[in-house]
Amino acid sequence: MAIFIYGTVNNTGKDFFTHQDRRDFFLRGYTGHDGSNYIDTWVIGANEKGALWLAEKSGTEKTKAQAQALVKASDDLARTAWDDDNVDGESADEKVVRIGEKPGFVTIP
Amino acid sequence: MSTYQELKGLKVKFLDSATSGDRAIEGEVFYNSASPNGSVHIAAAAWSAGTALTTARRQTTAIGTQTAGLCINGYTDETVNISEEYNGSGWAVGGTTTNAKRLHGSAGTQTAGLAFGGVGYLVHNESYDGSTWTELANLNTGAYAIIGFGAQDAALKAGGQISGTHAIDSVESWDGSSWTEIADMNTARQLGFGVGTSTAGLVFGGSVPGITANTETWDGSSWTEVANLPAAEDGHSGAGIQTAAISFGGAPAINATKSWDGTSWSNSANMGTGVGFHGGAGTSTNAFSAGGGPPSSNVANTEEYNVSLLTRTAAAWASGNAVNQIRRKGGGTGTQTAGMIFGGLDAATALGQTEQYDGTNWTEVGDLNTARGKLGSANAGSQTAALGFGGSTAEPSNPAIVNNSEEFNGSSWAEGNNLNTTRYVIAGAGTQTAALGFGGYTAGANRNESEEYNGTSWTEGNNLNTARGNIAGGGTQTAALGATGFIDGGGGNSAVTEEYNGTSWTTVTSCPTSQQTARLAGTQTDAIIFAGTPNLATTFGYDGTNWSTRPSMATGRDYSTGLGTATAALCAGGNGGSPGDEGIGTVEEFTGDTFAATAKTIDFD
Repeated sequence: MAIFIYGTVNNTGKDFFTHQDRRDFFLRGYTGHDGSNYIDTWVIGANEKGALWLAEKSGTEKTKAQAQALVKASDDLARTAWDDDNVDGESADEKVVRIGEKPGFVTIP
Repeated sequence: MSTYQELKGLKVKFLDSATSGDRAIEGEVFYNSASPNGSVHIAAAAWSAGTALTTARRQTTAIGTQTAGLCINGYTDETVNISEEYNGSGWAVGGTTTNAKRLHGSAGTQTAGLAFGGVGYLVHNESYDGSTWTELANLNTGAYAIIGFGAQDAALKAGGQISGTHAIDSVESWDGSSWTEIADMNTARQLGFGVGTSTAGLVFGGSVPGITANTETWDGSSWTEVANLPAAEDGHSGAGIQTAAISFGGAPAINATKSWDGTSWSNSANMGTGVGFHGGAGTSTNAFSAGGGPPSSNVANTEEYNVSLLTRTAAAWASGNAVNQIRRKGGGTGTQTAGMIFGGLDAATALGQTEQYDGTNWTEVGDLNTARGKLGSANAGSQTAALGFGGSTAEPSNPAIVNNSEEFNGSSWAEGNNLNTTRYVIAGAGTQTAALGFGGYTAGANRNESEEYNGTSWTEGNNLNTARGNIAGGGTQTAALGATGFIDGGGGNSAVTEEYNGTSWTTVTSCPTSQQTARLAGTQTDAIIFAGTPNLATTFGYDGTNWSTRPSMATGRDYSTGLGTATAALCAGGNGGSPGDEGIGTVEEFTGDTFAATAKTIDFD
């Protein structure tokens, strides 16, 4: 039995997920990118309430591989942006202080 | 016919709701005008979700109570030697056992524990004093899937599996210095459970082979068969004493709970999620379950069992409406339902925008005079009396660091006097008229200075013990808290936590993880920190002494804005993954555990 289901749907704000939703099923959001736009990518507990939540939000169910690919595309953009963000004369340490460490690749559960 | 008042000496109250809040008393009979009907407050059993273990595992054990529990060892994808301590709200790192083990026996309490045996027919026996595990005299016979109960200095090890057999009936007694063979159980078993003391015990269930419902009591000299469980089970856990116990869960992953009253078993409330090979401890009315799993995977689940008038609703993060201006590295103050954020950075521009939140919607108000990000804020301020100080006016070019502070009066920002030490990613605490700024960076240097603001000017206070920036800060000017951060120059992420008493900083218990850019809500003695680099969703609670876990956010982020209290916090914006983009605008709201009395309707038919 699968532990998680995967889907994409953008966070619409208040009550997009409620406190009760968080108690009813696992939910973790990641930034994904579909080649054109950033899209919120969700890992959802594979129970009835989790599946119902994704359906009620008109989300698009993805396979784990598809969801991971979306997140990796976002990671690639973030890493490229970090590489390109340089200041003349700045040391590596100073760059980390200024903009943080280079983003890694996120592996979704 | 007698009246209720004549029988009980009490009048039937006339109330306007089914819950009478803090007036609720067990057995209280009242008339509910809202329904309308007669109602009574009756304690009911229920399981509720608790904060998950830090390390998901199965084949683990637990001891102690619901507010001072210990989960010991187990199996992840290997046998582990970790323990975690539960305080009723979250888990904190406990001592590391000398030997990794699983399916072992345990006894005692969180501060006086005992763990013995385990897979591999281990004979190891260790005691725990609340911080350190120490090797003691070995078992006579190494076994696993054993039953353990009792105290650190008076425990029993019963049954289990030894090499070449399925289950054994032998029992050993521990007196604090050595194990002694005593009378055998009537039924050999492994994977059973036991509760009670070394002179008044109860064992139930297990595999003999074949799953059994058999229950036996121990009086200090002999075992006696008593009423069976309603259903056979193994891999279950339990809690309580010989005369009042519960059994819950079991292989492969059942959610049933049975209650023992000293004579017979009855069914009680089901767990939220079925588990087997989990840890369980506590009493027959206040117990907890930790970890376990479906047979070949691990869960970190914690559930609490309570027989109470009060129904617990577990803490959780929920989504809020997004801010109007997407931003990261902004300042914030106020509460979850009357908060405000100000400043910050988008892709390359410092922002002056200020927005106020009423618990539902964000409304733009007057901008900062000096647009900036990475600023400090007096985060115990309000929507009508806020303070922002320091920061950087440009990124990604070299940070243009500023030292000016600004005061907000509910509609506009006005210049205040400057910080003495110019810096950015400075942490803040207190109010507009009694603020504290501490830590941060100037170009290439960690700052350890703290400064106090009295509503007019900044005065040097004593320094932090550990110079660093990106600290999660909060509290008041005379009771501040600074947790985690980043130490430039190779120090990296920090778990250091320091408390300020209005005069000096004291280093206290470190946060469970080293991290930076987390945000803090609450006070020095009741705080949570959340989010952080890299895009963390984790939440930890601090009670003035110890750290423990809290439910995670749904979306991890760093450089966000945080505000509020330990039970009603807000996290807004931040980086969602890309340091090169403009950040995110999403918001999450944290609500701590809540408890409410419930009443049952009296059926007069």
